[in-house]
Amino acid sequence: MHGIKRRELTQELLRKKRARDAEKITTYRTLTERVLTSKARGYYTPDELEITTRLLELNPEFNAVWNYRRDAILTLKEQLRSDFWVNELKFTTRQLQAYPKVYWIWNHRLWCLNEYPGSPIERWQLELALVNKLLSMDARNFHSWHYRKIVVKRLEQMSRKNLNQQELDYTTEKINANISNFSAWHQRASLLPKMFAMGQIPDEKSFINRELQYIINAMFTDAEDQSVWYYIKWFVRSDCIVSKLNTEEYKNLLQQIKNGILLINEDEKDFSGKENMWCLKLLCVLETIQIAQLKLDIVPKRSEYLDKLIKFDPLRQNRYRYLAQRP
Amino acid sequence: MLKLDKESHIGYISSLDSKRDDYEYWLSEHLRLNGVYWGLTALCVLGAKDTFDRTKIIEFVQSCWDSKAGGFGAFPGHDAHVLTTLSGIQILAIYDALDVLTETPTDEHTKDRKTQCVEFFRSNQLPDGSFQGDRFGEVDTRFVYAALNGLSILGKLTPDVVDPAVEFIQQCYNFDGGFGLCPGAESHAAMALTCLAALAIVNKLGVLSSEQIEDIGWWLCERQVPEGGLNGRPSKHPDVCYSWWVSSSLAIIGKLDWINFDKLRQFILQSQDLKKGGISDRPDNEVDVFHTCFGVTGLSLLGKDDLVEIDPVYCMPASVTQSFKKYPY
Amino acid sequence: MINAERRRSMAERRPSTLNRSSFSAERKSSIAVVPHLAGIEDPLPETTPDTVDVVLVGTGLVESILAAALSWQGSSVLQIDSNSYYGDTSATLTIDQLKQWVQDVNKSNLKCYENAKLHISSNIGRGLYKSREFGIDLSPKILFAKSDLLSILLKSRVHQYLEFQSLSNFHTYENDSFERLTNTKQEIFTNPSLPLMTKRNLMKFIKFVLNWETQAEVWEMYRDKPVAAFLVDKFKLEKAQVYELIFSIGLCYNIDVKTPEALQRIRRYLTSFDVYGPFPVLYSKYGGPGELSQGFCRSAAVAGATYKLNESLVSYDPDTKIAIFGDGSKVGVTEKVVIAPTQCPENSRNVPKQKYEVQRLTCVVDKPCSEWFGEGEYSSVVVFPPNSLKSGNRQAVQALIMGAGSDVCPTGTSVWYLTSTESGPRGEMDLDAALGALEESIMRESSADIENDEGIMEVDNSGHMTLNSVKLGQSFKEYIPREKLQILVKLYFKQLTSTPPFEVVDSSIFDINEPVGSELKKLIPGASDNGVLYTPLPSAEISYDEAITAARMLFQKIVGSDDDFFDLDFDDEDEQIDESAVVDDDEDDKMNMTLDVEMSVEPVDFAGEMEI
Repeated sequence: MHGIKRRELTQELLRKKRARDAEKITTYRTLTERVLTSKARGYYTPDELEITTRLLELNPEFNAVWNYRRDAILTLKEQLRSDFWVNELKFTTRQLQAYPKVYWIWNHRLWCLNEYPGSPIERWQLELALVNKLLSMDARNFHSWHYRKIVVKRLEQMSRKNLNQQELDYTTEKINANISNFSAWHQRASLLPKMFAMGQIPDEKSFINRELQYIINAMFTDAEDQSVWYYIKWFVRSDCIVSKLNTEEYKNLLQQIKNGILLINEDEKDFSGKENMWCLKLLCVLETIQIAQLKLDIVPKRSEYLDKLIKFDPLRQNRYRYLAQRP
Repeated sequence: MLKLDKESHIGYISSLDSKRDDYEYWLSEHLRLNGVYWGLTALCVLGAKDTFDRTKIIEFVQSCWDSKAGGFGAFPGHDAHVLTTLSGIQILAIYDALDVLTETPTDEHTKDRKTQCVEFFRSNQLPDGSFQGDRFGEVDTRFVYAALNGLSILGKLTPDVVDPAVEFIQQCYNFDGGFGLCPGAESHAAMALTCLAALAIVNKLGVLSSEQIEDIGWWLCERQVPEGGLNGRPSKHPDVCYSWWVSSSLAIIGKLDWINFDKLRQFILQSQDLKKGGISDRPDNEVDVFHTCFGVTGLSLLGKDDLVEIDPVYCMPASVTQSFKKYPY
Repeated sequence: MINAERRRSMAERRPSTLNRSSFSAERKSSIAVVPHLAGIEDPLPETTPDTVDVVLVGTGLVESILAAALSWQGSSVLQIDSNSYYGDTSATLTIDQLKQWVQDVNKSNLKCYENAKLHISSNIGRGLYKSREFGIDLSPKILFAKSDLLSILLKSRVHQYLEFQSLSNFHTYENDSFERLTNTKQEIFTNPSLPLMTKRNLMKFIKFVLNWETQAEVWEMYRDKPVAAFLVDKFKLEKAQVYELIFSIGLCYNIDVKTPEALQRIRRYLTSFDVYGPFPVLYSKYGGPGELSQGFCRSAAVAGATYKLNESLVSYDPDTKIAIFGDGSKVGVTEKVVIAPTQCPENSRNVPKQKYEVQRLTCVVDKPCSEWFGEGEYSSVVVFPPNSLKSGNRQAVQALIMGAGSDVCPTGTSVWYLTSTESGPRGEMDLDAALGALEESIMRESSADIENDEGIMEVDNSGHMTLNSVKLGQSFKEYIPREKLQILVKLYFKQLTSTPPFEVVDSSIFDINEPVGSELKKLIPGASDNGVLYTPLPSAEISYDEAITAARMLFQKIVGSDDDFFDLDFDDEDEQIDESAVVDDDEDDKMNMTLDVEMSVEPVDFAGEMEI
């Protein structure tokens, strides 16, 4: 259980709860027994199916009941009404609205879509719209993102079209709406290597430059947000990016980012008296690349950064000490 | 500084099965076997391994057998799943009762349960090396971990299972140094543990480069929030169960000291319910056996509360896991 | 007595059976039936009680909120109004009602209003439009999503009698053009014309202002200084951003507004964003405070209050505690008599000074003005900061634009409410100048073929944006409009109030007859209003901020404490323990799904699966 506040129930309240619970328990146990018995006997009827609906509304995590329900649906296939599947999907929608993070509901919905007679592409496109709606309400629900990937994959299979570009645009939309959307940045970092590998980026150098400006923009807009820093950390070392640039271009890219970071850090010191820890962490990463990899002749400030990090981010000081010892 | 109230937690765990007046008790029936594993593990760590009635528990485990599927379900009559099959095996291992799985079945046409479990795990592996939870196809690195863990306890790991699984796990490694539940999925601390521990079980941590290990360590240590607790991914609230997922991951790669022990300890101890025992996901919330288990196992790793040693790879007492056959055999 | 010339009432607008999507049929609670109100769906009472705890004279917003609060607290309440309609200073009127109202003002019947001028086009009445197709607010208001009034509306369930729509478009008038607000992280991020450091500074400020009270060390030095200095010195913001923050987001009238007041107002806007959706403000359909007043009266009636229209107070005697009404009837009052200054009896001597002026210009035009509205919306706010108008305005002018979709005017028309806090003739000049600017803009916008590549967002393959979108467009100074704007209704008036321009009600106005020290303040001989409490009139404030504060203060004066002020709990006790115990564990996400599903906020789109 997550997120339930601790309550001290007085004797009176406890009594009341017990009374209410007693009824609920009886109902629940009766339904459970019925379903499990039918399951054991391999007994499937529309009535039994209805019982599972009631039980699953009470407890959507009861996976054995979901299993039985699916077996029942497959067994009763011929007897099902024509609008059955539409209603079944509606059922899962209601469940998802109430419990958007329960794996079993997502699984069942996916199963329904696969079993849906004909499983037409329009059905899957509607699905994409639905999951986009859910993501607009909770952009960090990783169940939704995971589900979305499955839907997109299916759409790609059915339309024989690769949807990477569309997916990339989706991440842009989400990031623009909220640059703290880590899930969207993650998607982007997963897509770009694939797209580069498949030759789906038309003008690679130009793209990389625009992406650079994009992340610098993000950095300045919100330097407190971790999502941007994780992305930058990856961007500057990622093979799919670096391999497209010659040494000069790479040096230039690193320097642009570094300049931005230094500016932001100075501004932070100016405003609040404190430095930005992520700026310092990234400066270490950049310097390592510049010195160790590119052999640039710059004044190393890494140990200064690490000292500051040890002082101002003490929770992780042992990592900084480790880095300081490493050449 | 708060203290760990071992007695109250032991009391809490032993009282769990008597809560039959609570609706919540019945609503969690589908987690019962897992709950027994969490409770038992916690008791072991608290030095109270003999609290439950060993015979009754073993009987209960056996009663959860799903003969149709050939594995353990969460409760009698429930369906077998990779996760619950693992829980059943883990409980038996802790009680040194794995031999009940090799008892000759009454029906001569049926194989013994150990063989069936192995088959259950193997049959749920998919061509890309991943594992589904059951015949309905949900894929998740938790299931890879559960399968390899279970097979390891039974001493039945084989290259044809291990190698593809390792490849799958590698594909779950992400740009930020974390691991997702499947290739392309967002990094999540629970997945870091399942992936690292799975690799550790089959002795394949070496497929990760030292740069990757450093990045993994970095991602993990950033889970610690200023107040001391650990979260599951960036910008989320801390939760006691991550005290386990994150700490054990760090321990496996030898970087446990990259987080601050004292503050984490404080967070876990503050999440105790000193009145009725048990630990919750964060201070002042309702307790449950899941968080009690991962709270104490997390504390055990930190080594400051005089607790029984826990093995971060298996989440079982080290005394039990040291007898497991190490792969490759 | 049901006036055939009035608009349909809120009870009459509701269908008798609900016919919504299948989803809502599954919701446990149903949408409320609107209770009837005397003088609308029900006849006025023949008699009134002999004794009541409180007599309220006037059914304006504050008075109506107070009536509901007192009635639910258990006090017996008699609320009267000398008009034939509810709402008083907050009323929503038809054109005919407006005509009458203007006459009354100029006959000095309606105190606290002066100088009312009304022009009505002949197209109304016998022509294209009927008087009752219009609902004109005397005191238009917008409701912030995070506000005490909204909380009270939810708590009292009065929101169930109303329908709300969102308003997301706020414009600032600068250099002859209207710029849409850039205040969300999204807008700041995607705006290509903002320099990087400016973005950073703006974001820093926004983050700061959300919790400004706890960071006194940042603003303490500017406590008594204008906020403009604070914004420039500390956050290095440029004039354009400073003006936007003060006038369009903070909705202040004056550049001298002090730091704490301004921060409070700016924060109000920002925290209201994303509570119910990507907009900070709501307003009620069919009319603003007029509808809300009525809603609270209905609620009070359910709780036992008695209502009488066309009734005035003649006098009140604090010794005998008897109030005498215009029809000769009397009532004994056990607690208090509370009067709206507009309805004070003859020979009143205790009415608080109404020192401040609010000048209003309300126009109905024959243009839909949809260019100014957000997608799926029917209203917007336009702010004219100081010195942006040809009249050289010293104070800001605020305009609230309501389109036909909000059901306050017929299709093809819209209502423009302009307000100024400037006093005297300058005020009127400023209003006229603002009207002129709006006129010019709408004539440009609505007739020109706007070239496609002007002001449109250019998006390249990977989603990188390279141009900003400005909905109202840049100035087309060289463009000459072909036609003139048809103004169907033009109303000027000056309203007086005791509330200073950007403050909430001054509590000292409630102290008139209170004992000072041990000495009972002298009662004024011959006064018909000794011992009463006067309510504050609406101020120029565009939000409802002052209403609850005032009602609460009055409640406290009457009852002794405000503990029971809307201390309501209509929920089933059964559900209480389970639901209230659950805490959302994703607090740090700005994921606020519609919290109260019963609040029908139009036009929120639940498309997708629901439609199947």
